[in-house]
This record gives sequence, C-alpha cells and structure tokens, in this order.
Amino acid sequence: MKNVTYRWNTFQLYDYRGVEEHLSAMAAQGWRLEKASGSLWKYRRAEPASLRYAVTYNAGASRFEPGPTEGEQSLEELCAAAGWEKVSDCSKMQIYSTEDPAAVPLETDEALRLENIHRCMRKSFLPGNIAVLLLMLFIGRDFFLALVTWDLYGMLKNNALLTAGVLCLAEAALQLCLLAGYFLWRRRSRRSVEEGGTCLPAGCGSRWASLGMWVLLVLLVAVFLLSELDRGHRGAVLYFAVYMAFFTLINILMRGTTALLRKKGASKTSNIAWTLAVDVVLCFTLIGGLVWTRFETDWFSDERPTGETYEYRDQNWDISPRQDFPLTLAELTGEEYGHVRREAEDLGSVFIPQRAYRETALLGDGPKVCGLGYTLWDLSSPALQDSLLEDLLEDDPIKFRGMLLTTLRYVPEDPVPWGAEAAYRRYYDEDPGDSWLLVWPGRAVSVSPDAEPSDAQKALISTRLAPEDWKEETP
Amino acid sequence: MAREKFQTLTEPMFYILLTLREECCGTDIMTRVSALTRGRVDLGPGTLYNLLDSFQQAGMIRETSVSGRKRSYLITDKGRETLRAEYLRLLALTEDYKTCAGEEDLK
Repeated sequence: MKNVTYRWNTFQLYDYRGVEEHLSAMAAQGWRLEKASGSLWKYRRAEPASLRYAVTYNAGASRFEPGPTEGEQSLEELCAAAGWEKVSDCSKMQIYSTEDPAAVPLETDEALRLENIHRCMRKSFLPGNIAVLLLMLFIGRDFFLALVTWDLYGMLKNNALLTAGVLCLAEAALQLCLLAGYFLWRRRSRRSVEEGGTCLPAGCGSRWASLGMWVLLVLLVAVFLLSELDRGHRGAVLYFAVYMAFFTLINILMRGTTALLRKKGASKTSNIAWTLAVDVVLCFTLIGGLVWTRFETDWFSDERPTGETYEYRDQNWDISPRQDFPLTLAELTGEEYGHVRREAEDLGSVFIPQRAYRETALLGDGPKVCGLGYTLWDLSSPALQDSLLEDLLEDDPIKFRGMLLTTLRYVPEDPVPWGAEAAYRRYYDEDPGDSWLLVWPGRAVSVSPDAEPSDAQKALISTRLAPEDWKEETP
Repeated sequence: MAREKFQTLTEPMFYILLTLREECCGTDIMTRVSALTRGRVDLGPGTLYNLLDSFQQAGMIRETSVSGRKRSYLITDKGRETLRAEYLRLLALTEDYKTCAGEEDLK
C-alpha cells in the first residue's frame, strides 16, 4: 500500500477556500499534505481525521529565501499561539492546520485578507500572467495577424506554425481568463466584504480553464506529431522530442539550483542571480546548441538521400537518382544528363499539403549546370485556393539594407498553352523571369525551368503536374 | 496612502493600538484583546500579523525587542494620535446619537 501520493495543483493563488476545502477533504480520506511547493503537491497517508486547514498570505515570502523569513517566523509564532500548526507554503500562500474546532480563524478581518491577497497577486502573479500573455501574443503574432485578417493560407500553411499559433492563442486566452477571473472575484468579494460578508469562493472556472489548456496542449502536440510522422518527417518529431526533453531538463536543473542554494543558505539575491545565470547558460548551451545542430548538421533532416552520392567537379551527384518525380529535367528537355541530383521536400500542413521538387544536372562535362524546380500545393477548398493565390500573387519587394533592389510580381498570361485555368509569369520589376504560377481547381503549381519553355514543354508540364480530375475532364 | 488607510480604524485595529499603549508581543496582544472585549473581538493570527506589519510601515507602532521568534511592539506618538482621533470620532458618534435619539432609547 503506497504511503505517498501526489496531486496536480490547479488552484489559483487567491483561491484559499478551494485549497482549505480540498485539504480538509483529503485529510478526511486519510491523506495529509506534506509539501505544497511547485505544481505537484505531496500527501502522506495518515489516519483519516477531521482537520481544519487555513490559508494565509505573506507578501514577503519567496522561494529564493534560504529559510523562513523573520516575518514568516513571527507569523508561525502567532499561529502556534492560536493553536495552528504550519503545514507547508506554496510561494506566498502559507498553509496551516489544526485539530481544534474552536481555534480562532487565521483571518478575522475580511477586508484585510482581500487587501493582502491583492498585494501578493500584484507582487508576483499578475506580472507573471501579463508577461506570459504578452509573450504569447509576440510568439504567435504571425498567426494572430493571419487570424485577424482571415488569411486562411497564412494560418494553415505550416503544421508547426499552426500548432504553435493555436497553442499561443489558447494560452493567451487562458491568461486573459485568469486575469479576468481574478479581477471579477476581487470585485465581487470587495462588494461582499463592504456589505459585511466574507470573500467569495473563487469558483472552478479558472481551474477548468487551466485543465482545458493542458488537454488542448496534449491533443495538439499529439496531432502535430502524428501528422509529421504520417508525412515521414521523423527528423521534425525527433527535434521536437529533444527540444521538449531539454526544456524539461532546464526546468528541473533550475529548480534544483534554487533548492541547492537554499540548502546552502545563499541569500535571496544571490540565489536569484545564480538561478538566472544557470538558466541563461543552459538555454544557450542546450537550446542554442540544438538549434545550431539543426541547421549545421543533418541529424534532424528529413532529406535522406535515396542512394549513394559521388563527387564530381566539387559537387555531389546521385549514383541512382530517385524516380518518384512527376516530371524530370530529361523529360522536359529531351536531353540525357550524366550527372544528376534530385531533392524533394514535404512542406505545408495537413490542411495545405505542399511538396517541393528540385533537380540539378550538369551540362555535358560541366562546369555549367541546369535545373528544374517546382512546388505543388493541393487545396481542398476554393477558399483556401483564393487565400493561397492572394498570398502568392502579392508583389514581393526585395530589399537590401533598406534599399529596394527589385519587386517580384506575377503578371497574368495566356493559360491555354499551359493547359491551366490560369497562368502567371514572374517579373523582376519589368523584366520577365523564368518562373510561372499555374492554377487548376484544387491545385497550384509554381514551376521554374531554366529558360522559357516551348509550347510542347508547357503542355508536358501541364500533363504531368495538373490534377488528375482536371486531366480527365480536359483530355 | 497609509494615512488614508487608517483614517478610521476597524475594531481589530483599534484594540491592537489600545493594547500597545503598553509594550507587548503578538501573542499577548491576542490574549489581551480577547480579555478586554470579553471574547467579543477575536484576533486571528494572520490578521494580527498583517496589521502589525501595516502599523509598523505607517509608523504607528515600533518594534521594541526581538527574543527568538517573539517580537514586542509599542505604540508611537503617531499611533497615539490616530487612536485618540478614533476615540474622538466615536465620541462624536455617541453624542450625535444622544442628541437625535435621546437617553430614552437606551433604556
């Protein structure tokens, strides 16, 4: 039979009633609170008892203090004299218990209690809530902007962006709910106290919102990971797993540093400074190192070569080029190439699958090369297609150090030779480039050959890259 | 801020200041207030701790000695002034009552 159990703490700092009722209920079931620090509260088995728990607040308490402050000791002394025994503390929340049903309550002035709670909330929790809210708005700004302007493509173009955006949105909403919940509770409680009553119960709204956030987090991460795995993005999943492991490790090490320094009797200031220093160093080494590894190595890359490569003229070429390309350079030009390199990448999201292909070939024995690149977007609804086209067809100014170099833009041209519903050519200011955007119902393709294709080549591109149902309708 | 906060005193505030006309520690304050009011006013330790802290910050009481965890306090001139002002306010209320309702209502 286990003697220790843990419970996830979902109580808000100001929800003293919830905490008191919960602890009394646990004691009646034979579980007494042993330690309430952090999010996981520890309970030890004991004889079921009718215990009274009470919560009071100490604005001067801090988890960085080496031991109980003078204020905490004075409070403990007063409580002991009134028959209350200190059980634990959770940040500024001080938890006491008594078996004496006649003991004077810890708080006998509700107005003062309300004021004290607000002092504690203002000192640490409200700035924390607001900081998280602002951070979420900053991280998710691209997603929020897309949401506000109802840019469907902007919202759904990328799995990671979509997952992070929804999470940031949910977290920002949660922080707003928590802030609103507190101020609403405070206003109602103040009115009650002014009328001679007590502070009101905090209700379960904030707790349910926090719980809902965790459920959403788990669900979204699961959907994200499964969809990445489904698309063969094992590297992305591995990167995410390592990132989360490092994040957890940093958290544990930071808490460990604080606890160790507390144990060693370090002052509050030096504890905060060292914990912060350890945090910065760990973030730079672990997270920074991970990001560096991602860009500098292929450990997290999903681009696995289909076969061996060889080096010729200082470049790597495929010994056996992959065969899953819908259109190859040799098919387009009718030429045979001795040295070829092919790369394909799954981009986009579950809502807008996007696959990019790129083939490079050496002309003769070199050193000149030629290439063919194209990207396919599959769009399940006209709204998504409109949104994508709006994004792609928008003028794209290219700047260097604030100076406008050129403006990329697509200009419509006759779609008939392309066998498409619409066709656009990319221009660099007034100069035509060798990139085209082709549109069919349900699919958009951006294609970049090395030179302007002939009508026969355009027809071939259409045959290979147009959606199947379009080809069936227009043979 | 503190002046505004203590412009009128609640019962616990009033009795704490009254008790601290003589030097005493927190535990003594709880006992004395309860005895003085014959149990009508109970001071919770959390409330007492916060009030002592607020009074100290407002300069209405001062710490006189620390012995282990036990701290003793004494009212300051500013505290006496506040207590006296509250007494006069209560007297004024009583006088107003007498003027309006008369002694008969008390019987």
